[in-house]
Amino acid sequence: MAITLEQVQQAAPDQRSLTAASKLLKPSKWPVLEMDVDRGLAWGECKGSGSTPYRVRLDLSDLGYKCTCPSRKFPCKHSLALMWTIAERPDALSAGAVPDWVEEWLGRRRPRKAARPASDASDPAALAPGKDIRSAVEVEEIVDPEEQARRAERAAKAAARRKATREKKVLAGLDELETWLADVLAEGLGAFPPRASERCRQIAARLVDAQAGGLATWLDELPGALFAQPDRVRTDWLAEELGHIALLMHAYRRQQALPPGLREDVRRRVGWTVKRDDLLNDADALRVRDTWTVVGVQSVTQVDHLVRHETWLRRHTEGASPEWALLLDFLPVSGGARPPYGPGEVFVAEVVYYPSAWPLRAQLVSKQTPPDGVVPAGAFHGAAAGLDEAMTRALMVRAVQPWQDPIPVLVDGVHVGTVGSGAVLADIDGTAMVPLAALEGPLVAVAGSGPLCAVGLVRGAGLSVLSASTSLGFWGGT
Amino acid sequence: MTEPLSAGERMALLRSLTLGTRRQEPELPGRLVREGDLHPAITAMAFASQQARLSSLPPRIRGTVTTFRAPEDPRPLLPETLRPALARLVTAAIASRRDLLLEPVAWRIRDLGLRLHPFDDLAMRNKSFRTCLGPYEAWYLSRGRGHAVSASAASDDTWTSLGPQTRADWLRMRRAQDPQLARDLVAGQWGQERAEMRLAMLGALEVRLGPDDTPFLESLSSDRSGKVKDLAARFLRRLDVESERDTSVEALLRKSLVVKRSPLGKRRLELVSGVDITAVRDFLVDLHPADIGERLGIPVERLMAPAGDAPLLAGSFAVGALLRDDPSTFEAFAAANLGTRVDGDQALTGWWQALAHLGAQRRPYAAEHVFTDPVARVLPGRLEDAQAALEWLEGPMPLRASRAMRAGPAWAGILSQLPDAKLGDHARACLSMPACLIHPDDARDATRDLDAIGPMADPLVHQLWQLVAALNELQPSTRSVP
Repeated sequence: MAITLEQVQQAAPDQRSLTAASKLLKPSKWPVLEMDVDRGLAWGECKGSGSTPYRVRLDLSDLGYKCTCPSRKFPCKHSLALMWTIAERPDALSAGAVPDWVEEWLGRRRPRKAARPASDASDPAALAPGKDIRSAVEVEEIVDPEEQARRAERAAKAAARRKATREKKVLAGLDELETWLADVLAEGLGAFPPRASERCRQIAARLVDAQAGGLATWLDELPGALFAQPDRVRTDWLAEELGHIALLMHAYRRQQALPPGLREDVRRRVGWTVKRDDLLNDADALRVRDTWTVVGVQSVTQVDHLVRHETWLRRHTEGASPEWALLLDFLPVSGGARPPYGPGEVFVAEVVYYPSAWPLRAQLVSKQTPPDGVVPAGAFHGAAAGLDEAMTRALMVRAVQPWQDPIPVLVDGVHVGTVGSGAVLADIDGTAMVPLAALEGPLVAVAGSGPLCAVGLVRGAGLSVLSASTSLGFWGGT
Repeated sequence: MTEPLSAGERMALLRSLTLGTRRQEPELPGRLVREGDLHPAITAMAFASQQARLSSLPPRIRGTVTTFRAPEDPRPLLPETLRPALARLVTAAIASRRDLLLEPVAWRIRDLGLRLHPFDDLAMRNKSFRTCLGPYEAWYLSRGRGHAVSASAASDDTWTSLGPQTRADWLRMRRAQDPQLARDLVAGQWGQERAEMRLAMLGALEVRLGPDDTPFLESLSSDRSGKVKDLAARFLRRLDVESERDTSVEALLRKSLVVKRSPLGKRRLELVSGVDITAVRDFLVDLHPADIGERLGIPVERLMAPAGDAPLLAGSFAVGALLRDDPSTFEAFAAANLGTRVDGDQALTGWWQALAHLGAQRRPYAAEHVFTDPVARVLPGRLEDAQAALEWLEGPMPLRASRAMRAGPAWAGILSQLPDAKLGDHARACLSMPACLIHPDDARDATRDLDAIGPMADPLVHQLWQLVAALNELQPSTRSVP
């Protein structure tokens, strides 16, 4: 079931895709590149811009393919690159057992009409007009070192200029935010809710113009969160939320006085981003290699029409810090891509943390299947003994990084129950309990399984159970 | 460090912010006001916000916690290694084929004495798995559906809060205990319910249906719902037939069956107009077909003739023979009715209904006879019907039946089709049944059959086979569904 270059050329949607695919042919781009010859399947993980690599599957019998990237070109550059690699260097793929994510795809897919055979391999252009796989490989321009240095210097200066310009715009945006906050307070928080959507949209638009995207999104989402609050606490909640925004505004203006980690937190919350490659190349960034359990996966549709996949990881080594890592992937809603990992997955991986006063958000550097005998999902260490201790730990996190929301906690010796008509998570000895949103769906099954060691997220003033280690094994949430 | 706000200071600030600083200038503590701060109210709000966030994490609540403890289930859990494969199959199977593929797997799991993991939510997601429900899942389902009261916990005062299905379950249970009280409860609630609920409640009265129910059933002839009227009429007809049962079998037969003559003068049996096969089958299978023929003055060979209602009746007659240990008459009926001379759908429907009856009586051995040669001859095109029959039988295929299946032309036909990549839905269904139902004693042979074919053209079938092969490797548990 060999693939020819002509078939790859024929499958490509356009010449640009071929050119883009040619840049992904380096083995370093593919942490995983495997094949099952008997079943005619190939698959790989290709490093992209997200925290997790894109997963590419290929059925060699009919050149059926699937990639987790959000590209709207079919096949995408990753799929093309995998085909291309098989066509040119099949020995680059190692033999492997077909992983679950390939099996799952196989179960869903309908067989394609088999790809037409290359009837005249000597004239590939006739088969795929406007595309030429041979010209897709770019020839690297030879530039002398001095010229290269001059170019780098010019690029660095331009980047510094852009950064300085943006700093001014952000500060100007914060001035507008302060004026807006003053207006809101002058009119009164009681009068705010009826006009919340309109007012928040106005200031969010101004902050987008000021390139303070993080703050803009926060304010854009504020009305939705406000109306989700019970009527009786709405004004209190609004005062607290706007106060929290105001604190960020003040902190940004005085960022030079902040410790380096917190300064980075403040800048990121306002809207500055760190590119994945820059983080991976940052020698000072905190790196951790360990065994991790995926303790929760959440997908949130943002107002900017992106889906944010949150993958929460818990580290296995007892007593080590940081204990948690959060991988974020942002994908277009229309892409329909599913979260890259499932709750309960255990793997060995190196992660690199974004600089922070309380490192949590991270990027995956490398990942391997765990060796045999690895600790199973749900065998957690370092859990808080009861809700009081868990909440104290969460408060300490909030003290060092005020904008960390939600805060993951691990608490042992609790169970799910009800008080009146409301659901609660309570200590077994009854010393403390906190309300849960609802007791329904699979959480009911967990409630019936007895005492838990629960992974929870403290968000604002609420707590939700993300997953749990139970007498029936690991529960990965809804 | 700045001193925190007192409760009074915080309340005063919040009052001012709520009313508007233009209307009520906040009186800010001096420690929060800095020189040059144009908007000290904003600074104070930020301070108060942090104070609140650092002092109040999830609000504590007081009260007595009611905890849940699901009933114990002694069966071992499905091995962890198979959970992902099963979940994948559930997700991958397209809706129209899901039950067909999953029910046999569910049977096999139940047959092995294993329980599904309650966290996988399979019983909730797919009804096929309800065959393996244990007490834990039943408890979960009753709660997970969101009813205020579960069927088992409902009382005469709370049963009206249940949904249609749970309410019908509860009424059946109550009807079995006290038919008159259950009927009175239904009658008392009747006028307040929608048609769907009325139909569910009426259906529950089937349990211990008796002459005392007649007045209530007759009153339903003017119900607004056609379905309710039909069901009530069916119950009344059944009562009518049953009331006659004790008088004489012969009179009963004559009331249910009529001998007609064809244009060529041949006699045949048909149901009396308006009599439902389901109402008479119970007593038909209590008689040997020769006895029926003798009482009605018609040779038993004519009872086998496939015409009119005969296919429907033939299944019952044949089962009657089988229950009297007369497999040769049974097979003669099968040979006469399951060939090509009648419309296959109609003929087979009668047979499967008859088999359902056997299944209800927990006499699955009869299935062995059904799946021997006469039926196997028509199986290449009828496997989906056989699947339906097995569902009614509520159990895995017995050893002799599975061997007959594998030795017969149907299985050979399936195997010959497999190398062809054009596996349609029907072939997929054909494959699924023997794949999952083959007796564990023969599982290895069956797996070899599949291995000989090579890689499957259909990945779903491949997944199914992998799962079944893994299940076949497991040692059966000594536990059964509690």
